[in-house]
Amino acid sequence: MQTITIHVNGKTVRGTIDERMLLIEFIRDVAHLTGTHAGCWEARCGACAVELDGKTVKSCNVLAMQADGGSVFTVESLSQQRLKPVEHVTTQSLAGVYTPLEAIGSSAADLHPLQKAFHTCHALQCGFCTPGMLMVLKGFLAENPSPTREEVRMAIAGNICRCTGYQHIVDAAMMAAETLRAAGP
Amino acid sequence: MTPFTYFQPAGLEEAFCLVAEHGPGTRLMAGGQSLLLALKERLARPPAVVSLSRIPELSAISYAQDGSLEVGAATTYLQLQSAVFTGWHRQIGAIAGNLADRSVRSMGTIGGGACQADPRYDVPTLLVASGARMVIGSIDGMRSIEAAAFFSPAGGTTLGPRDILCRIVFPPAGAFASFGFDKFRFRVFDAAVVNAALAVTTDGAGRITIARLVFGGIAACPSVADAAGARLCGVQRSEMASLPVADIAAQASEEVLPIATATTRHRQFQSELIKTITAGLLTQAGAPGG
Amino acid sequence: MDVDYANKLVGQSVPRTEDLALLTGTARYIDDIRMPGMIYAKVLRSTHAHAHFKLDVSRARTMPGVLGVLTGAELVGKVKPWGDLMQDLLVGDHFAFAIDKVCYEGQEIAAVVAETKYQAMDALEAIDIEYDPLPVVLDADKAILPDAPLLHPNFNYEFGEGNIFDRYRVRIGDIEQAEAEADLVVRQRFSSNRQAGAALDPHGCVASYDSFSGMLTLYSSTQSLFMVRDVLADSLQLARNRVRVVAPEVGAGFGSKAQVFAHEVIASIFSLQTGRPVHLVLSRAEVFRVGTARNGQIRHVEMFFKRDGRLTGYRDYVIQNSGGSSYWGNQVVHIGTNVGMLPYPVPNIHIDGDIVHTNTAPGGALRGFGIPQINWAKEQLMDMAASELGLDPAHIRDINIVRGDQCPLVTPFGQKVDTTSIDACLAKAMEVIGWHDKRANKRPYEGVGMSLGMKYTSCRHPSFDTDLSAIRLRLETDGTVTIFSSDVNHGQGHATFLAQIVSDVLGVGFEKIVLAPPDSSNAPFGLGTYASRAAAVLGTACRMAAERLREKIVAIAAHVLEVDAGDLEAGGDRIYVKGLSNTGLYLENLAGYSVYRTHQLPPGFEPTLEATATYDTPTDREAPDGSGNFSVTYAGGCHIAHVRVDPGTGHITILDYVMVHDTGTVINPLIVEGQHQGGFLMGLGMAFGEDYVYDSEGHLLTATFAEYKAPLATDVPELHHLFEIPAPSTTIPGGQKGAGESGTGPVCAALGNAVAHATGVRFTALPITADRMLLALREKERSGLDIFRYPDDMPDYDGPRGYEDWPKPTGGEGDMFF
Repeated sequence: MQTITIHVNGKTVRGTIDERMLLIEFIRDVAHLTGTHAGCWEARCGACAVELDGKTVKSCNVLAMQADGGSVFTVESLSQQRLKPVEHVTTQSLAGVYTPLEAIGSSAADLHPLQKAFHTCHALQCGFCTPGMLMVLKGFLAENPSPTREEVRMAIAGNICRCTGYQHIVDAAMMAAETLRAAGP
Repeated sequence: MTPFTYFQPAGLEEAFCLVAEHGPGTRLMAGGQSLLLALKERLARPPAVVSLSRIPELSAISYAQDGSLEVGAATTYLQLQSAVFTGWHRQIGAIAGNLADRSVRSMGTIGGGACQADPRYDVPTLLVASGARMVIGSIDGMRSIEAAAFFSPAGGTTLGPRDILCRIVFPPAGAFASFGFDKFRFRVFDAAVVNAALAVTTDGAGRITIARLVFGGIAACPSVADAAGARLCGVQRSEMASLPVADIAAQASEEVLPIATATTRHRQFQSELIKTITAGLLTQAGAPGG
Repeated sequence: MDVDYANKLVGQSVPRTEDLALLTGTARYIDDIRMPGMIYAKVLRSTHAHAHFKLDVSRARTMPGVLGVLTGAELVGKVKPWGDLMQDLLVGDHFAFAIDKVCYEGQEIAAVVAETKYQAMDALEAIDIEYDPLPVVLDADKAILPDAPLLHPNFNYEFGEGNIFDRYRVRIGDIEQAEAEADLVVRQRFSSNRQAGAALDPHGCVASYDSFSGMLTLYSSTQSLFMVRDVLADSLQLARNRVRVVAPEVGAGFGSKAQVFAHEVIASIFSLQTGRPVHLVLSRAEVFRVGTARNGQIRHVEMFFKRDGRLTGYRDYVIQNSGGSSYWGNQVVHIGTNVGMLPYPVPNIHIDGDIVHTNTAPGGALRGFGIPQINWAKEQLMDMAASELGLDPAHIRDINIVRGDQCPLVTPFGQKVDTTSIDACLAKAMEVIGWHDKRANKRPYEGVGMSLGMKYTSCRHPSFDTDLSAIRLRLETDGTVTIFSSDVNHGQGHATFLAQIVSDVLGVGFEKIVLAPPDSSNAPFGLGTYASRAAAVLGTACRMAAERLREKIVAIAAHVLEVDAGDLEAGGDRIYVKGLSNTGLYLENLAGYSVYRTHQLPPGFEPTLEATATYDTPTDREAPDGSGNFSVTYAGGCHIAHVRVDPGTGHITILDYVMVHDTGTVINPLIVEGQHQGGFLMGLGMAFGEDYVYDSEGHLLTATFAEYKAPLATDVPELHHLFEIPAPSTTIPGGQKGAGESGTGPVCAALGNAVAHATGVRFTALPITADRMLLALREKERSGLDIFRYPDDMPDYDGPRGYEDWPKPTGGEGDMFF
């Protein structure tokens, strides 16, 4: 057992862990963020992809120990974590007088451009591969802001999707790339 | 996985001592991309794991006085892919950037690939074709051996139980007139069915003096097609187009994978691929700028 | 000013409400469930494909942290076997564990539950097991031989014996006459591969027994609440109202999660024994081995033609490989063959089928359900016939298919095709790809190939005499709506398209509608999500429920406003008098009246605003001659592929791929497009790489994502050419047809035909991989044959090369079906 510290989504998380604990297990069971998914445990499907010290890695194939002292960003970092959707539940004209209590976190408007593009382009169906896709694309677009569709496909070739056939995912990546370029550095 | 003690030495000497102290079965880990797969399946059950990722000199890229490229064994594929290289060294970056996938390349290391020594991997072929030197250290001292001697004909490496691969030394950027690499894999980032490298050295007059044609995925260690490669010697590089490419390719195929032994579909496929890939490499080597 | 609320959501590409939770990582899949005191179970699985075994679990019981160990022997007589879904007879050939013999690698032998996952894995290693291996049979055509190793000697099957657990028979028209009068007979044996669903979210469950209430709750990554609940309850001999099945977010299924699994029973038993929640999630290797795979088929097909290309007869002997045990095996042959015969209304059909067990992975439902397998054979034979007759492959299809203007029609096989646009789909696809130009100007190693496929929109399975789903709607007291569904969304966008329907009918804002999480304790009864049934069957139940609810709401409004119900309209969260859209009553007020101000209700009106509707499709059971209309309506399409083969490596590049589909009235075009693209992906994998590869002892060599060739983004061509030519269904009130599997059925044959056009190599086995392509090209060159069949014309082929070597069906012509 060893005690390690990993900065997860900007928050310092300390845990006394078995040396065998994988980074994905630390993220899910110690930092309690279940958005990073385990689809294969053999570093193939990519559903576990996260950002570690500025690089995208497959967290099922990294020991938590290897990330000790490091900085990890997961899908939850792309927009503030929502616990409850904020909506106006009444249409009566008096409703405009009241502001619903803010749920913890922000609204759909604060989604990362990649998340927005995935939503617009229907780039997810069951959603299981999606966090990994988002994190890989985020890293890729930071390196290559004006990719071709072929380059996008190469970038996500380490992420398996069984639902979408990838077409809408590539569409979404191209859309997000355009949004990010327009937003400037 | 089964339980293990995890060490993260900050220096090479400390690493040598840990390996010697904790005895056989201790596993070294740079990026862990191969080791962790084995640990998760319980195919490897080391009592101790020694991490090499916090030893700075092991992931450094530098040039020696004579222009040799010195790459720390724990240098990641991502580092190699992102480095700015000249001459044939560009191929090292290209090869590093075209194996596994983005996320695995962030953690996987060239030393890890060499030590895993899977014959389908690209790194062993690269090392043997380029005549790289492997710098190995242990508590007993440092030594350096040729890449071809690093891989055992029976599979695996010739590393001893207390050895740590520290550094790989590649010939200088101008050492080869042409260095080509190609492979066939079913899907992008699958291990190769066959990979191949052709390293061509010329003399001052442009005549080919050495042509090393190496294949991976055929035998338990990289296969060198000596006779086929020898067909290039003495030929002017600018006249390579006149070589009987298909014939040499067929010879190379027969040399490393005799058709009489290719009794399975997989082997027959490899035999054909060797011909296709070799022909491509020969053509490319003879092309201007190839 | 009057606002027009007629702008309906059905038909629009409304972005999905599901997405937010999925995109932000807050959705909870089965492995995200954490419960206080939860313990972890792991299953010991057979490493042999066929063997007797002896177990000693005594060491495991004493390992640290172990709270329970289970084996088959101790459950016999306490837990009831459950069954393969045979016609009218549930054969109890499924059990939580093998008792003393295993029939496939990966079959459950024992299980351990412990405080941590590592402790459970350590305890598994402490189980002593001795195998006594038996000879294995891996191929279906070997399994039918009298001397084949016998998997299940103790079962009596109604229509089979030995390893043949069911037989299939179709006798329509007069095949002998068709043969005698035929100008051309084309015959070929085709085989198709086993394929995994390989949904990224592994199968798994958390079982939680509460001894205080006597209630067992099973959270499971499943496609059906009630099939699991009923079978699980029956197996454990618990009352069905004491078993609750809850589906968390389910990360896809494709049919592989549409049945009860041993691990669900095992986890439940552990929870019953310990009183603690038990987590049991499978590893990827386990999912490959036991997560159910597509049934492989060998089809010996003969098709009879007149000189002008008219298809007059179809004869077939199918041997289906359903693995070591199967839950949907025989149904795949029945449904796939019947529906897969479309779009051809063949008048004379003679089919025999032997459906067998082998020592391979269990067969189950998988996207396409038998249609891809028959399409692979039939659509290639159409091309082969065209070639012999000197006809364009498009023409031979065009003169034989059912046409939109002939509908509604009933085919000789019994399908009642209410509407179709398949003829228009064919014409459109040809235009988009440039069919005539590409056929006339063929380039070396390039080719085009087409396939037509139609498919069911849900099915009345031969074993179930039912095809129902249900919806309950509740208008909440604040004007929001809750939808309770009998089925389980796992990526298809139910929350979105059901809300589109409800919004249109009730006039309630789309954002106000929520789909309740799937929970058998409050869901209305229905069969689940599979067979592309959600839009049409569940969607119809939803429309019916919404209309019932609307009637109630309007009745209250009519009473309160003192107007005729007929003068009222719904829209903008209101019920208003037609023409006066900014007046009327808010739905929330009407809902409030219905529970909090019941004196405002019309006399005799039952309070609360809830409505339930169940829709069972008007479909038939299979008749003794094999005919029948199993599906309420038929979707379909035309696929055309343009490929290039690399003669140096055998690699096949898809240069272009066109899909023109008839999905009837499309509720959400973007979702349907996603379904077609995903369906295509499954077809592409089946065609070009996915396969279950075994060694000679029955060990699965492709049980990892490294070896199992699921297509990556770089393997899929750009899918820009997708079109819909809707022929709205006249049987489904809203006109919709199922989308989920249209993209899969025609893919293998379209690619097979394109490869044959490109190279002269006709593949008769799947998958078509680079190595096979390259070796076929080399052998074709050596042999000098113009048309080369792979693998039949390879020198080392040991199967039947010609018709004279074909096996005969094992069933006699006797009376057993009649």
